[in-house]
Amino acid sequence: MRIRFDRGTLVLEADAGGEDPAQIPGAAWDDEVRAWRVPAEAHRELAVRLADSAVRISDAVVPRRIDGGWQLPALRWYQEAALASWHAAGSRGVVALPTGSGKTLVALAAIARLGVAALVLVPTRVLLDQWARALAACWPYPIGRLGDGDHRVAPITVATYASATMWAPRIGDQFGLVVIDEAHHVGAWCPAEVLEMLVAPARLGLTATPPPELGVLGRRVGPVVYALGIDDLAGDALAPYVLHTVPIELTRDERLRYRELRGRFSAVYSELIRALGGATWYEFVRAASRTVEGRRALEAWRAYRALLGYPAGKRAALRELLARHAGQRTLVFTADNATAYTIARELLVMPVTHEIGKLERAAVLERFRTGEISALVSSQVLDEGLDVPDADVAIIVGGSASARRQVQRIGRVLRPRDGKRAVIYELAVGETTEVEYVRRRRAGLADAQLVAGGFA
Amino acid sequence: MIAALQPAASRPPTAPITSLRLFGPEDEPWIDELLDLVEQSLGEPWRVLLERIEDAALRRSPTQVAAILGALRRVTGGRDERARVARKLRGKVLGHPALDRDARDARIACAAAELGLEPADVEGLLWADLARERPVVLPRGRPAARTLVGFANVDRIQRCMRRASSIELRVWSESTALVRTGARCGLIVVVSRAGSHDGDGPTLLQVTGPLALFHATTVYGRALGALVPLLADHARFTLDIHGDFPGGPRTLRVEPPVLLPPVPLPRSKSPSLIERLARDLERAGCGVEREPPPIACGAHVLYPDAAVVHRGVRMLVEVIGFSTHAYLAEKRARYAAVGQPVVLCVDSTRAAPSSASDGGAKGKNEVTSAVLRFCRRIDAAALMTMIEGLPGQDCS
Repeated sequence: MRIRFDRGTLVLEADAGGEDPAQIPGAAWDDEVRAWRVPAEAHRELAVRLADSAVRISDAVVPRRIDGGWQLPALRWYQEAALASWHAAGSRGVVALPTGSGKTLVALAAIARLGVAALVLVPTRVLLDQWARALAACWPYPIGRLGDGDHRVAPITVATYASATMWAPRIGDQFGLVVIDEAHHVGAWCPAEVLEMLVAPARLGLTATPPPELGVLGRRVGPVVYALGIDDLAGDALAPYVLHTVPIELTRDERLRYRELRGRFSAVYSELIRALGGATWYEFVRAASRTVEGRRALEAWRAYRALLGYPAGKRAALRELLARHAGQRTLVFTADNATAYTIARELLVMPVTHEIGKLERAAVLERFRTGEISALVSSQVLDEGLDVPDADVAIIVGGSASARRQVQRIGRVLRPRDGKRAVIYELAVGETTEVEYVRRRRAGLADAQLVAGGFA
Repeated sequence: MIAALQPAASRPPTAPITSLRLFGPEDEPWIDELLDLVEQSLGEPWRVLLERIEDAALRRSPTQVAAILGALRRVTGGRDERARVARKLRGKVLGHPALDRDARDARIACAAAELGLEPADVEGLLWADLARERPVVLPRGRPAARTLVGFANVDRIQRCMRRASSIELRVWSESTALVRTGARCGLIVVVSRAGSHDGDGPTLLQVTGPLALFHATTVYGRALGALVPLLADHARFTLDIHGDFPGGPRTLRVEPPVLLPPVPLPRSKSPSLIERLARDLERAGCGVEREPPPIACGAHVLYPDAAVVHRGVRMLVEVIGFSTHAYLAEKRARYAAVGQPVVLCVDSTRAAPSSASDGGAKGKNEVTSAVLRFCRRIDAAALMTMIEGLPGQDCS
């Protein structure tokens, strides 16, 4: 049987007397090329099956080996343990370590030890730069980059999820290992199809927050093979921290407006949810968009969320906290970009959002590293993965109920340094939906055993 | 167990069919009202325009308004220049938090003095490249409502395509561009002639991607969307978009009349393989007809890339990307069946290994065909030699 890679799949052609490709599990007929196909990720399984059946194969799919020359720092105990667990699981699976604990180094060591061409998938352009820099620092050959205007393929290539989706049909046979950074996004932001289109038998997922049910991540990458939480490493590989919840009160006018908007929304929401028989939020939005009342309710929802995003109380608290920690590197997190821009405009601090281009962002982060600027404000870009060394203070002005997002945000300031004690403030408006958000975030964190209490 | 014996795209759709609602001439009056607001807001930030639109009560859903505004942004463009200025200003002005009014004003004033601007200008330009903050401009004057309708329709159809796992497209006129674009985007395009075979029936294009053979997937949505602008050239077509849309699996149908703008296709930076071959052949004295008309062959259609006239012999040329033996054999049989001599130029890096049958062969009606393997560039001299050497071709 002849096996060739084409557009993210393997094309199977029968030789005289060989196994009929029609009998291969999962094979599908392609009328265009007049042949049978299986997804590229089935390569290893297919090769094993054919070898077991003593079928002679002509396999044109052979991922490249890569040269040595790695210069890696020594791994810490938990990084070695994570790598050993991953190897023991057949070089497939997810390593879950807290933000700032050095997941990247685990992946670099995995690539070096396997010695095969590797593709690293990352969610954002910021992370693309960061990974390319990290790889270039310890491997002497050119690093490929796919995304943010680059399309250079090399034996070790970093690609954004979006670019990988476009490129996987062309280069899916070139890599023996795929590393998925922020692997909890597999199945959503990172389409599962990208992994289907890659031959790579070795797969390493990295995340600080593995989903409770792995689902598609488990099927395409493997199970969680090693996991540690913040508390396992706090005071060791991570800085100790204290988390303060700062209660905020609305002004009288704000409170009245909040109640009015919330009331307008709740009336329609309860009615529609009852009528729809327990619909999801998405279904509610869809149904509400069809009526004038529904649209008004959605407008009210948006308006009260904007109000809670940055009311006068948060404004004052933020100024006070920034003054208290003047000179310390501080990250300010908001619920949305509009609030991030409002804060940036008011306090003349740099926003880091998806609208800020690559060069400007790199320059800003460099200025932050050197201490030339001491505060950055962001809604989402700073949430995940971004390597911001030595940030000491995080001020969470707004966010969602997501515990996962909270862990990612907290992790931004836990990079260890001698004598460092990170401080995290969470601003929450009392007697509003934000109280429930805080409760759910805490519950989620406690469930995940990622935070050891100590809320002040 | 066999997952699927036929491509998903060729399976009879069981999902209900609904017509996709697009913008039409009836929308032009409210779009004109919206454009009035745009003109009133010239020079002001986009967020001011958005607030005006919200207050104006255009009696249209936010989605519809957003679609037209998206088309407007596409028509106006011009972000780059503003981004350069804003970036420079942000580098000078933004830094440590300015925690009181005086500190803030002093910093703005300092930057303004350095750049020879007024403080108010600095405030305005600081964010001039952000979507909601950039000023409203109409560099080419007020666009026609109909132009925005066209762009919004392209966007609407492409958005639906992004949720599609396959499409079926029936066209009653030239289908070559559609087939070639689909192939260039890495899609599987199965072409057949529907209805009568005398030329009146439509050409049916079943378009999907390789993974869609195994399960429904939206991963080819963007590639499928590349076909949409080409529909502007077709007076008559039926586009069925199969996918899992809100409310469950459905087929969305698009049929004329539909306003679509003639969107120029992105030009390739380097000449295509066939274009380079054509130039080489012309330099060598051959006549070359680029993209000759498709040839109907029973229920199938053949799309030669060129017709080459060398020493009085006319030979079709088709470039083949990925191929199997069965595919090549079938292709040659079809050309033979319609009585057209052909050289199939096969990419050796993506083709099945060469076989004894690659050379010249006579098919039905004594028509010849051959396979010319190439790597990166098709050798024009080799092609001419092959034409001369094919059995039945008298090139003397």
